[in-house]
Amino acid sequence: MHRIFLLTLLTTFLCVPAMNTNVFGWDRMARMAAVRPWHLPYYHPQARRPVSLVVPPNTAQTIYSWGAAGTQMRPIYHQYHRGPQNTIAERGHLRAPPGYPASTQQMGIHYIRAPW
Amino acid sequence: MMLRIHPASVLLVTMVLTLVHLSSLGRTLLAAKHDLKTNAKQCSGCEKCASRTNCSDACNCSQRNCRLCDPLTELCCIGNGELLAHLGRPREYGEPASTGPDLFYNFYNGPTGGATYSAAMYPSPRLTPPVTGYSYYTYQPIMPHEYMYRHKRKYHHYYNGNRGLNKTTVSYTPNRLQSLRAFVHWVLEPPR
Repeated sequence: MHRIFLLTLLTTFLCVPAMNTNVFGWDRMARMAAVRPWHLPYYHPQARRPVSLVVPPNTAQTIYSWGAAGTQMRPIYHQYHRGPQNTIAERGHLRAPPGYPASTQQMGIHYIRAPW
Repeated sequence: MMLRIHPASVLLVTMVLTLVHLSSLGRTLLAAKHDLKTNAKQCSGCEKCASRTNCSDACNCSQRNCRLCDPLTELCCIGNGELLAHLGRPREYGEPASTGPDLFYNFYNGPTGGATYSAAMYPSPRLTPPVTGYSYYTYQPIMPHEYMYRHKRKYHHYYNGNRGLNKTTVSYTPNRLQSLRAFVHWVLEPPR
């Protein structure tokens, strides 16, 4: 009985650093979103600009692309927030989606999570 | 002793108040007649002012019914730009709302990390005709993004100088019957 109790205590103490929310939490998602763009340099053919698709805030995305290891399952880092909107710099050189796209990322539609 | 107010006197007071109100309202309405076609307010009440070619010129007619000479009721000559600024300019996609703080707010995702565009979550109040003004989601608890995940939320509103509290709890949960049906379907569905 004492052994089980001590083992449980030890496991708890060992698990606490692994449950650090900064590693898997909202802060990390925000930090990852701050350093990467929410769209690739392809525009949506109808909107002539990359289109954001609002998804629930607890969603990951699946990216299908060519190749053996082409399919990815990755978190959506970008999330809509209520802060002030940054200036729009609309002078980028966006390309049309290729005729034979190699990935679903090239279609000009990108997921952004809704606010929590 | 009971204080009694005769219904006729109530009616009389109401009529007097209404007349006073209407007279003051009519004065301002007469001063500036709104022309919707050109989005400009035309001067009226004075022939000299009304016949001017340039409405922004100063008026020195000193007539009693000329509203231009009264600085308190100066309502004429609101040009197109000022009227648009008053009613609201049509907004482009992604442009933040500049009017009231909480009537409608949007959510944004800025162009971080070298992105070319930023994204606004609700493109809905966009490019409205200038005379119409804006369109708003006036009731925030039923904004569509709240229905995207299961949660509860409480809205607090203090009133009467923080002496009263109105608390509303909203539960964004799916219908239990539909959930049960979906679960049964998920259990019993044939493998694909």
